[in-house]
Amino acid sequence: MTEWPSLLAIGYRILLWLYPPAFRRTFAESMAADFDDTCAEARVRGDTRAVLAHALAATANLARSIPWQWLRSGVPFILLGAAVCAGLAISTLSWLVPLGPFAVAIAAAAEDDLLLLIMILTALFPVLCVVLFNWWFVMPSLRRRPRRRRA
Amino acid sequence: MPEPVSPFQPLTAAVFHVLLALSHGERHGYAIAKEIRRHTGGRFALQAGTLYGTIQRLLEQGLVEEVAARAGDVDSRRRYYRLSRPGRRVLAAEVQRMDTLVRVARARRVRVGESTA
Repeated sequence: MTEWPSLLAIGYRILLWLYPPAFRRTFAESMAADFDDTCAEARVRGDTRAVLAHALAATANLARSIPWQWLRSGVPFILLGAAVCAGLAISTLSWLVPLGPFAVAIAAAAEDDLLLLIMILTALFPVLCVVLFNWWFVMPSLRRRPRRRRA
Repeated sequence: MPEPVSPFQPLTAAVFHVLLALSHGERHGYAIAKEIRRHTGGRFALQAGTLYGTIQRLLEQGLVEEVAARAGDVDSRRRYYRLSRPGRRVLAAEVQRMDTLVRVARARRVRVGESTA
């Protein structure tokens, strides 16, 4: 049967998965090791309340730290940018295609310019997405971990 | 008054304590947290999220660098860090800044433990 301190450790590791990938790859193992060691030290002292207090404090700290790390990763801004692009695309389409509540009157002379603009944006948007996501995934791995010293 | 080592000064409490904990040699995260608890008498404790967030910022700023793990270390999950030269300079400048402030306070006869009431 699994002991409750092990369950706490499993719960903590699950929470660590909520960090952005770059931060998780670099620090999650160390954080899990710290959690295990702190709990083990409290258990050796026979201090059950200290184990629970540490687990609660660590979880509260993660609740503050995880959103902050996501903000630092820039992903919310990418999502915001994508939402703005999507909103612009939808409003442009609704301008072009007169459908129900989205029907907007458009001058015949402006239709060609608008079509050209949409084609350019359609071509640029995937390129921009590929560049941004490659940068986001590749940059952390460029910071290599030093090799282990020989004995 | 000493010139600040811009843009790092004044250091936050977390950054100052991490740099101070690393001033006596390389340590992993857990040892840094224990050293901070020890030298503050338990009055200042960094939880893992804050500690590693601070280490991440210090790595990006070049004030701390990661070193290879020790060969005899039993836990391979540990990463070791040490102060870089700029980190040592920033810590020294911050200590000097704080020392100046303490001397100013002492000159004004502010005593530790004095009550304002």
